[in-house]
Amino acid sequence: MTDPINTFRAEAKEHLDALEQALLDLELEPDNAGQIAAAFRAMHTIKGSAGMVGFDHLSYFTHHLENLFESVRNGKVALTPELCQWVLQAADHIGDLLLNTEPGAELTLISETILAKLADVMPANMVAAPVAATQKKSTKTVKVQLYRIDIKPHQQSFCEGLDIFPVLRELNELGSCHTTCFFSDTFVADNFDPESCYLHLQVLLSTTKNKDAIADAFIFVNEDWSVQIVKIEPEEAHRLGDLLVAQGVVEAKVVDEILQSQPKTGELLSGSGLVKPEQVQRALAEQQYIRNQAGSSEEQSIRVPQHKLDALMDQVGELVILQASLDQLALSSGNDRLAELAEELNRLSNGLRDIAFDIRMLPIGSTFARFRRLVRDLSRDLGKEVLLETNGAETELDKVVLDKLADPLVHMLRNSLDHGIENPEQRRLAGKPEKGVISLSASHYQGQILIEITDDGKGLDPEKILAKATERGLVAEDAVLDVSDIYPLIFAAGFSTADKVSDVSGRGVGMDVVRSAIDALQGQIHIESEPGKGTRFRILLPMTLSIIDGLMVAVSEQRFIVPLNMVEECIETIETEAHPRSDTCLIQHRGQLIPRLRLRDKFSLPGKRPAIEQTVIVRVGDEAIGITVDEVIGNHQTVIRNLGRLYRDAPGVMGATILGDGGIAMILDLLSLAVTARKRDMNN
Amino acid sequence: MSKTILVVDDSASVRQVVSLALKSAGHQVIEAVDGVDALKKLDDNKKVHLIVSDVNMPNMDGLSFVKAAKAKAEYRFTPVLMLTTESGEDKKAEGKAIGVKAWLVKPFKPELLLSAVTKLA
Amino acid sequence: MQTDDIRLAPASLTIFDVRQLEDTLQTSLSNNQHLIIDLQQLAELDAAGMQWLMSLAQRGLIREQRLQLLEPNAFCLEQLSLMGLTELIGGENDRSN
Repeated sequence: MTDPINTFRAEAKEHLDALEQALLDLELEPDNAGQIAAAFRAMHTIKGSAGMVGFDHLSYFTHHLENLFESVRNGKVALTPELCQWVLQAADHIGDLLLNTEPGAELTLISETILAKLADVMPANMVAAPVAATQKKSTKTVKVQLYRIDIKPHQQSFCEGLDIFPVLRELNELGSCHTTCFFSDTFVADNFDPESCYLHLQVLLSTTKNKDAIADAFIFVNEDWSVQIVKIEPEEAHRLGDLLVAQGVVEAKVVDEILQSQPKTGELLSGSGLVKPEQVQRALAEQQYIRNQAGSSEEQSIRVPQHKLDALMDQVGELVILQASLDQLALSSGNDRLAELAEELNRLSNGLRDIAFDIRMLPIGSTFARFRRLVRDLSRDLGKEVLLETNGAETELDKVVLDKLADPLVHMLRNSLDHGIENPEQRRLAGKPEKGVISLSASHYQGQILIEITDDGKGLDPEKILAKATERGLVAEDAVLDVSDIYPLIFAAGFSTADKVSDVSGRGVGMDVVRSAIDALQGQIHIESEPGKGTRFRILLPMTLSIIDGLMVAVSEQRFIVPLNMVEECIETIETEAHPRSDTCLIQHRGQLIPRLRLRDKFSLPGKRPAIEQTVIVRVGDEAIGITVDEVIGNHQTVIRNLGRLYRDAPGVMGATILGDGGIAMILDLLSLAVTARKRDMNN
Repeated sequence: MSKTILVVDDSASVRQVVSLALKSAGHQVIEAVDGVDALKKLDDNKKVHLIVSDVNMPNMDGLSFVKAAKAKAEYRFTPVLMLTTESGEDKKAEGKAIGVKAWLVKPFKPELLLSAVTKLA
Repeated sequence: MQTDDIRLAPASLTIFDVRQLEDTLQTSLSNNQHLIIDLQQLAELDAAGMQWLMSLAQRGLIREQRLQLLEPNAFCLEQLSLMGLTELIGGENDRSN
């Protein structure tokens, strides 16, 4: 017969998978009642069975998670992304707890860390006693903090009338304690003096009290005992993989030796430290498990709170700024040694920047998984047959970009399903396979990320769109528009081509929401469509939002940054044109006339135009435009800062950066400049 | 947990305050007026968990008493809490030599006394 | 072989008692003999007493003497749990049979 414990483990793993799936969905759609219920059920079941087969601690742990989801279900607790993150961590932790019926200090510590974190968000009446007791003064939840207290009483303690129990009792009154007690290395079995103290204790205390309150318990013994009180940051608690070694019980290399030798050796080890060989074995198994995790060929990953990454990026940003100013100084000083150092520092800070970037990058595939489900469910609801193909799941995007991209993508998929793909009958009549195909792909394109959503549906109908837009007053009645101008009209606010509002894409938001979301990400969106064949949306996104390589240019005293990845080349232009008043005109570039824009005119900057101007040719999407400035200064790494409210709506600018000399440079929004240039071009 | 505590002080009021506080915390209290009296009380009672003693007392002072008490087999490991005044700093070094670790400076609030007692017994 | 196990039922296991208990065991307990300590009557247990129990478990393993702690009362269990040593209780020391 199978051991019930094994049955439970297998069953619990299934529930854990269910929980994880639910959480991943909830992260994107926090109100999904079905998934909340699924998560609750998973925790409830694990809790119940765990108690039956002797996993008491696991039962206790999952009990709190069950409570949490209960509160989420009642609407008492909002499932924030941060909370989701913690619950995911809790799910991973449950996996670890499944290994042993009685977890060691390390795992218990992690349990308490997670529970303390969850308790922070729980409504007061749901929280267990220690936390509830702290809410007498203010309704604000008092932070539960974890401490590791290392106690080595003096060898003469017992003879001096100093017992350890009073101290332990006092610590227990401060909060919830987990104590580990073992012999220190002064204990020698053959030479044991019962009146000497050989004990070494380690207490993990989770309390709302501060360090002073803890230290107070040791007030009479602090001169003779070695007592260390260390605050453990929640994030750190997860990295305490070597607690056993830290306890001084065994040395790292001994652990490995022991594990590879006979069980008898484990008993010998117990003679040197721990109370019982079972405990040693258990602790060693735990340790080995942790080590295996770290050492296996698959890389171990850690979860880091977003704000820490943001802080890192900020620091790197500052470094990059400082670097830029040092570069300028080095250049102007003419000091070779200084220039050399600046160059070296440049290399290092660029490397650091790249790594910091890379840390924030996540494969887009994590969002893809969710779409597959969405397409499946929606197509069933709509009575359509649709296959979702995905490509480039490994393409990496900045986490922030990725998070903000999820909603627009969902909406576009809905749109393609609803308006693009025909029902099977229509498709058969049109001579197409009954099963429609929507393809979602991500790839790198000219230093940016290209995301394409392609369907093989009926395509956009320009006439219908134009009629609708005219009806809605989005375009003048007599306007003559090219097809490529008509398609983008579907992104206009309040536009909807569907004759009747379906409950799929007609959920109160239109494609204008998609447009503004992509704009917010400094991306661009283009439409290609062929009637009867299908539609393709192309979204171009910057890989990150925080730092860009830029080309610094100047007009009079004012400096601007042009995103470098869009710069094609810089040319000198001598003013001979006959449009002195217009801030745009056409210039000749590689045998082509392209629109150009003079920044001095665009931003009404003072000063006289130099006789020889510089024009930066940039490529926006598929078209080139020229930006004419006084001077091209050079490459400049830029940390993008949001503009204050005053400038937020200033057209043509997407942000600002602080320069090494303390001045400010505007970062040009080439997309909007291109639109301006094109318009002026047409008007002329 | 209830403990038996010997309180030694020549001041009746101090004894009263200390006894009252200890009794309110559920402890049993034996009172003695000086060192000589205290040694006698120790012999009369086979089990005392904690000695709380003043330093300056007639007949036999606190430290001499503690020294004598610790010489008795039944009390060699019994914890001691000394009550002293601000000026008694030099006595601390003396007390340390005979194994007295815990000191409480008079005047003190009853809570402080109880907190000290819980740290010792 | 295990005919005359030694059985103790102390009322107090403190710094005042450990020396004598230790001496008794050193003289009377031989190898392969089992030690049973009944904790039902135990009214006093301090860290020194606890350390002694720990040492018995530890040293017993080496000399193949089995230690059994029986019937701990509520007070005893509380002390054990304060020290994180509840595992001392129970038949888990039966490694040598």
